[in-house]
Amino acid sequence: MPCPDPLPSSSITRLLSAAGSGDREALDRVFCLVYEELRRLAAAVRRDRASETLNATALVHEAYLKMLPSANRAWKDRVHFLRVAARAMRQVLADAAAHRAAQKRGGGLALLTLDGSSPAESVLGPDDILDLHRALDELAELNPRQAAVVECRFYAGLSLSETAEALGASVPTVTRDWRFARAWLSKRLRER
Amino acid sequence: MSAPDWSTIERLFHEALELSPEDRARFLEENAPDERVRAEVLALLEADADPGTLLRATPEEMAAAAGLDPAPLSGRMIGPYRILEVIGRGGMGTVYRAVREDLGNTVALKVVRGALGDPVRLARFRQEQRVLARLEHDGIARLLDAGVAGDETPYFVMEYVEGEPITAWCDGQGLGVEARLRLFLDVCDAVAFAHRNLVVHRDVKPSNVLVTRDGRVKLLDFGIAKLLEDAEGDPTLTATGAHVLSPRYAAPEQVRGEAVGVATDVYGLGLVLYELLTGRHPYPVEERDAFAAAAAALRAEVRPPSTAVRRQRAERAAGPPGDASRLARRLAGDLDAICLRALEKDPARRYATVESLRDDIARHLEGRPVSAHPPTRAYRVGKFVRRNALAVTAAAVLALLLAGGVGAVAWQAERTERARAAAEELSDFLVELFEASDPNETAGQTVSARDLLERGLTRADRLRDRPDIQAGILGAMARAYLGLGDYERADSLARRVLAQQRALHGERHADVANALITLARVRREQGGEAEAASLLREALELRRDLLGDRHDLTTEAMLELAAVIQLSGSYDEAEALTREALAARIARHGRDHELVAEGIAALALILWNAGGDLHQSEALFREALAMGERLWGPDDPRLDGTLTALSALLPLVGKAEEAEAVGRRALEMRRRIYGDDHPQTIHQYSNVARALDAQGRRAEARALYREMLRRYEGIFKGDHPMIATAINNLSATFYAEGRLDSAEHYLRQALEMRIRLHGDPDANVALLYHNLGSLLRAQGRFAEAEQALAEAYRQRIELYGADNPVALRTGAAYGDALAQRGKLDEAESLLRDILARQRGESGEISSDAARTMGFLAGVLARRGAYEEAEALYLPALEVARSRMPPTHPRRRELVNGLAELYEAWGRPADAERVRREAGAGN
Repeated sequence: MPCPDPLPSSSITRLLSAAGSGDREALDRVFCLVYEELRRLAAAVRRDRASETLNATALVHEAYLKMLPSANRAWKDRVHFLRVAARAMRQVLADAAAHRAAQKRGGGLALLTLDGSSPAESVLGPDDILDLHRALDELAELNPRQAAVVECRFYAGLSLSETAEALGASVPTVTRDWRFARAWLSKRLRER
Repeated sequence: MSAPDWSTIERLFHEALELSPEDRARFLEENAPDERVRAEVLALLEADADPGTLLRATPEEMAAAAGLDPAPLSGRMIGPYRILEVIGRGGMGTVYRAVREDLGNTVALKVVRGALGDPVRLARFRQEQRVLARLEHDGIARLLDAGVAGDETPYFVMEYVEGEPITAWCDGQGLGVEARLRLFLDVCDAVAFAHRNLVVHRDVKPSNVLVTRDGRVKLLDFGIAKLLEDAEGDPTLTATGAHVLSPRYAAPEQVRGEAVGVATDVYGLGLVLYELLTGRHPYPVEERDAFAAAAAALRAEVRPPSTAVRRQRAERAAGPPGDASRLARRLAGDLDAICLRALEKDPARRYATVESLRDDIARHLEGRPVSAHPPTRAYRVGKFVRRNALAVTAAAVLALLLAGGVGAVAWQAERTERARAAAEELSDFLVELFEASDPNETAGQTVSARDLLERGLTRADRLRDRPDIQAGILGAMARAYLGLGDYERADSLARRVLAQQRALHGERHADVANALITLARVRREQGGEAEAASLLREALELRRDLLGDRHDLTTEAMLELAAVIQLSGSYDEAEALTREALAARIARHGRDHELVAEGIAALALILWNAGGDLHQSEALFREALAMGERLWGPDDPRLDGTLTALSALLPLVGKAEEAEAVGRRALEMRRRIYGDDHPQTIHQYSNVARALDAQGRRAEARALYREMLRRYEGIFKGDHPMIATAINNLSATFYAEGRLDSAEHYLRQALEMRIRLHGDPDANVALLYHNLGSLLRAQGRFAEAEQALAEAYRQRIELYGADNPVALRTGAAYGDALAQRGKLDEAESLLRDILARQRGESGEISSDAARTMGFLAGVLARRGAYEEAEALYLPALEVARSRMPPTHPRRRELVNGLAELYEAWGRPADAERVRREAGAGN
């Protein structure tokens, strides 16, 4: 996905409001920019803080702070931004997982484990991330709003009220969507 | 799914969520438009209750799973090395492919978690590193460099090896046994070389033994474990401690925290060899289950490779290719012996050097005799109990029990952070206990399991500020005391844990259910069946609610409850529970699963107790046993319950000799698990004794009962239910031999003890009155028999109600006693009433009903109502023929009754025929 060079934040603000009012092209561009920013941030965080754990939600918020300097921060922009960032984060994770999974399958390299087990190591693997990504695509076909709720909650770590704000829905609706979508995804993943 | 379906499903889903779990099914039954929608909503509700690991992942876990690690990405410099990419990751740190900028060579660089503070340790670290750097051998990946990065993070630089773990490589190449052994010789050479240079690897395992593309062996991580210990200072603690206990590949001495040496690498090589030859690890323990792995390293018997291979299914995924039984024959003998020798628990019993292991392999390849001889069977069976410090066994048992505790705590902890903290607490706890079992520390004295537990209690008391963890540990201790047969201790601990869990979580919590179950088990062993039953009911209800009806823990509670309530004759409920549990387990795990084996054995037991077809129970027990043997091997302690039950059942189906063999096998197993003077072990004497008794070897049987009594009296003071049972059984041998006076003497002694213990009415007192009645009847003392049976009948009705099968059984005997006393009217009406209750609405004839029909027919025969009597005898005998062996006393009773009827009726030819037919069946 080739992206244009980073834009000044004022343009991002403009793009965001255009995207918010339904401009498809603007949305694509913002998405692209946020996606690139998230990837850059992920790499940078990893460089600077070797001992820390990387946190998807934190990245989204960091991207927000970086891309929308305080002067341009309006509540509405923030919400729009986070909505886009959630989707971008999902894509960043899926791409990283696909890369990792390909590496794993490609073999060739010996896996030098120091120690067979580590409580810190997640039991999840790249395939899990990819499965969820695909299941979420299916859900988006059936019920786009529920899929969006999952993106906001799960990938950007937004609270219920932030999610409601970002999607222009009420908190009870988002609450119900979240619960149902989560059950649906969980069931779908088990069917695989 | 079409759109209208979607909204309906969504609506029903949310409405059902408002209801309590038990009301949901009915709600959907009534409101879902069709089966498909209902099934969909139910599945969604299930998914809602347990959305799975992925949908509960934290943002950190998501990032890590996707490969967005906190690891430095390409470009970052550590010392003179530029990181290229991550190639491995483990508990201690991360491994990267890196390049040395100034020289341009590719290396493997390991960054270790945690920092290296103090200069003394740093110096030692550097010194050790210099020793390792001199280790130059073709088969060893060289340690090139080690250092401390800017932020005090230690790192190692090793020769970069492109290769595969030896096991995977051999599988990939499809190598046979010979080729694998030859490659293994190279591994031995490399390790032996290091040993000559006074470097011990300490962590030999397949993933550290790579084979390069051109087929050369390279050992990784030589001496790294030692370096790390130096870096961390204290090898038994935290991060490195976890490494030393590196679960699946740790040698027993490493688990115990003892000195590590050449023998440790011999053990590691043994593990590699074992996996190369069989395609599997010697202990079937899950990779992540550190405690089970530690316990297995200490305690689990290593199955000879040939046996392990033979046990594998047809499609073996790893190991030398080809037919399993052919491979098994190839491994049997030398290679079995070599592996077992290398994997001895006691370092002193292993090969003294890697060279001697290497020599044995070489000799085997040349067809010369090897030095490792297969250990004799007696040696293998007894080696732990007899020679090794008992403490080691005790610690291992404790580790197993505590592993349950860890599970419970981890389960309860919602966040991985808390789970980890809890696991660490427990691991420290274990380490301390293992230290106690170190013979060096205890000056050669054996530390008993009890001492160990005492120590554990003291330590647990110090965890007051972490009540959740403390409760987990105390729960494990309660189970340990229960396991040791110290029921009083177990009782007070289990009650304390229950109170603590309730205080922590309220009434409705999984941990409360666990605590209830532990207490119930203790109460059951103490003879408090009624309390055990009510505790189990509460636990079962909680688990059904919290976990669903089909969860393994829910079915566990069902089986426990069924086991307890069948003692008091609630057979129908017990059978229903057992069948529900078994069906759920099969649905969840398929037919070939250990939980299914357990369920089948439970079903066999309840059918037996309920007076069902003995052959059916026997067949079920055998099925469970065969499944267990297949899954776990013939010596696994989990076979204990089934073996014990089968040994008790077999004499009843006329297979007394097999019963003795099975009984002795179970006894041996219990000796091994529990030791000689444990109630569970002593209890099993009685099954062997009964088998002897059934073979007519009464004196031997009695000797065993006396031995049993002697041992019980050694551990229990004064009156005890088990002593009463033993006395009762002793009396039964006299009874069987026809020495009725002696039988009566002991029976009355047992009865008096039971009355002192339990009062009136009581299930056991009633049982002994029943037995006394039968005995007196056999002596022809019908007046006294009538009295005793009346007492038994009264108590049983009071205890269980008039329709209860146990009460009815006694009632029938009482009815017969009345008949013998000539009280025919009274007898007839009682027996008719009992028979009607026994046959119920279905009219089916149970074994019990058949017996009653015999009694009633006897009464009718005496009154001259021959036809009606015959009409009772014939179907009753039919039932007996189909369910009991010809020698079964009840079947004989019926045969004699019918023959006598024909004689009285003036049909001697028929009487003759009936007797002949019965005789022919003998």
